[in-house]
Amino acid sequence: MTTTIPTPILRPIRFVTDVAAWQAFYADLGFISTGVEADGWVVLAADSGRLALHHAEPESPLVGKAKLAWEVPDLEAYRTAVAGTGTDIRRATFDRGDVLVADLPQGRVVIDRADGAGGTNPVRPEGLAVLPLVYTRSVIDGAEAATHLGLTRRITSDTNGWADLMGHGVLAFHRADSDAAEDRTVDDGEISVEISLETGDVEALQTRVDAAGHPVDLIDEAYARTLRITAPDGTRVWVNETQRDLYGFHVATGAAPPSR
Amino acid sequence: MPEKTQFNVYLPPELVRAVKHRCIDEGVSLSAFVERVLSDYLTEVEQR
Repeated sequence: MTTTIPTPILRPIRFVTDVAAWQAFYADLGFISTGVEADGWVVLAADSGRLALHHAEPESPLVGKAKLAWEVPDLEAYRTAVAGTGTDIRRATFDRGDVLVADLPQGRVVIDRADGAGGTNPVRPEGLAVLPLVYTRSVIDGAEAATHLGLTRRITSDTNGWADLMGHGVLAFHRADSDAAEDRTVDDGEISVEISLETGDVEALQTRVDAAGHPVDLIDEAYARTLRITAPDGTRVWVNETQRDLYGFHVATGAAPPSR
Repeated sequence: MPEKTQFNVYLPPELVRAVKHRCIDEGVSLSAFVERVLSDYLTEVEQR
């Protein structure tokens, strides 16, 4: 009997010195509270996917970095379903409680139990989705491994330089351009990501973000348009427009092509 | 990297589409492609 693996809620973790400033920033982009908030730890929800803000002291090497993580409603049901496919997944106990640990070619992923509400819609162009982006030399290997953890292949470039998968939120693998960017990990082997976003209506988001006073540029890329929004630390958050022109890309068998 | 500035122009949609497809074929960013094409053209004109 095949057990369907519960769909993960992608919830990357960003390490910041000023949690309140980042919380306000993401609220201006449309994120809402999940109700999960503790000292130095806040979980926010987009339409699809979540992200966590984790306080870090200014001298911490984690400041400015982010790592891949996700949540599932029921850890044991998820562990049983994943293990049933022959994929290695382990229980562990951290300071914050029981978690699961799984592996991708790029490093390990810690899976928490989902608390609070929000972020559990499917990926859809009318909403805002969280898009953790992994720079790697192992794009296809990473994407294939992620399918064994409940994520569904969506778009892949014909050159295999890009592959993304849907959960609640989008997980993307992008070919690293240099050795320095290859398979970076943070915090004891967990996978380093860039936290990007995706929406079908970048112009509406640009208007909203501009009205909130955040510098924002709308810039064409070959695959789609993007927003670059200046974040509290001066870096820029990328928002990809939902890709509609699939020239040079293909959609996984069985996956619905993106549409407005 | 040298400082970059945004450069907005109006072009026919079919040309934009063709340029973007060419970038994908060559595996380069739109900015890098346009920079190369414009620079090459200016160099060519100056050498005539």
